[in-house]
Amino acid sequence: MRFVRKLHRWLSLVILIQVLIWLVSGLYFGWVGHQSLAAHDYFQSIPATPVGSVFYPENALIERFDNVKSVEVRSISDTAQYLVLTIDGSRHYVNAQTGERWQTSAPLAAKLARQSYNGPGSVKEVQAVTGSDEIIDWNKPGYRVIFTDEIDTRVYIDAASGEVVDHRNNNWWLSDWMFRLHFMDYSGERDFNSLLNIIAATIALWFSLSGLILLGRSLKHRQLF
Amino acid sequence: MKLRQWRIWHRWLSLLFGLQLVVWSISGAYMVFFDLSFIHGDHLVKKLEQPIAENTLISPVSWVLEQHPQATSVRLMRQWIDGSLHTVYRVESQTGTQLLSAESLEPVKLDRMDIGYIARQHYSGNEETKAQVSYIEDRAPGELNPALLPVWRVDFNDLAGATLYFSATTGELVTKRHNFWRLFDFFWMLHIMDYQDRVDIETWWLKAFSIANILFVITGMALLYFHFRPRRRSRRAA
Repeated sequence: MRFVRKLHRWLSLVILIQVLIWLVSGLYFGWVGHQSLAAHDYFQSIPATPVGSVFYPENALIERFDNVKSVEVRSISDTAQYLVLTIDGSRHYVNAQTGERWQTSAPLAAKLARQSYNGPGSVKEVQAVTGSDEIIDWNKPGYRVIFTDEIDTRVYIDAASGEVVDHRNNNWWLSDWMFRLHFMDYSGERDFNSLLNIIAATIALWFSLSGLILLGRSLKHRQLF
Repeated sequence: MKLRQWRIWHRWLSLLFGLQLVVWSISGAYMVFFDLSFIHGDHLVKKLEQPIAENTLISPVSWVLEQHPQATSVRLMRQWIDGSLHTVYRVESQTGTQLLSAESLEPVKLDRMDIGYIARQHYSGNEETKAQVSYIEDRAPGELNPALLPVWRVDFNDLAGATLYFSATTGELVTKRHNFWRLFDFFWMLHIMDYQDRVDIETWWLKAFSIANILFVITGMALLYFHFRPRRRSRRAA
């Protein structure tokens, strides 16, 4: 028992701060909830609309790209768009009217951003960007559409596809850091299988189990008063 | 407070709230130890590569759109029907999804045999493994998102308890499950303390236990201080 108590005490020195971090960040997650954690306070998915008319034939696409797995046609703000998936995993976006590579203009980006937004603000500014520090796995050309609301909602639009990449707002950095601290992945990639986290989880497991044993002993010896 | 009092507080809080800390550390450790892609069951299925041949006979997509003016998405893709690969159109609208033969634009219905064959193509385990195919129309099991219904459920009789779910209308693989995922889901429930639906992270249980355990940890810090504080006994003795 002396050994268990010693183990509990020394492990606490190593892991105590991280346990507090886990508790505080966990409390934060529970407090703000899924939607705000994802910066989706004013997010809505854009409703799918009928495709409309298509001019450029699919056969041409199958010849144009190698190893086509599938060709989808859908509507991006009233214009039909082809999405070509190939075996190697790459995605090609083509204007289904002209057959040209899809392009997203700044006004179209603003329109798409508005469709994905259900907050009280309106579009304040549209900036052309290439990737963003706020979005970890997106580094392509696109737009940042800024709205006039109390949390400065920013909607990122990918230029090559016309897709909404994601929403961000002023509360984002805090949520982001809470995730980094909770997962012990300071790169921001939300990887909780990192070696550091595995080591910390192992220590925390021994820490709590040794505490459980000590509690059992206290109960057995009626040492609660 | 004196050392003895802190110790009593520490014991009481550990009894009332600290047990959840044990639950958190066990469930957290399980989730951290197993790689997420393994939990997702990515290893249960093969990567299928079936490009559409350049000379494939297909009706143009504009005909599909004339036939189905309400379609919000039309996708040309490959699917196994009657045991061989066919090129099909997957037509999606507000009312649902269906498959059409890409050549004739006639609707394609997949039956139990088709799903059994498609499942074999996807499954990466032993080819001899026995499997059971069942149709689920309205009652989704807890491990399946009800929005995906109706589906075919294919249970493989392997060690991992692998289950693959396929869309009843298109035969596409929609969900993979195995026992490690099921245990992960159970631990996730314990971790977020939503014992009902396993999705709500905003339960009052979670917030109350987080706050109580922060206090509990503070009593532990006090005990550490008492143990490691600089002693002044020598001075007094002098």
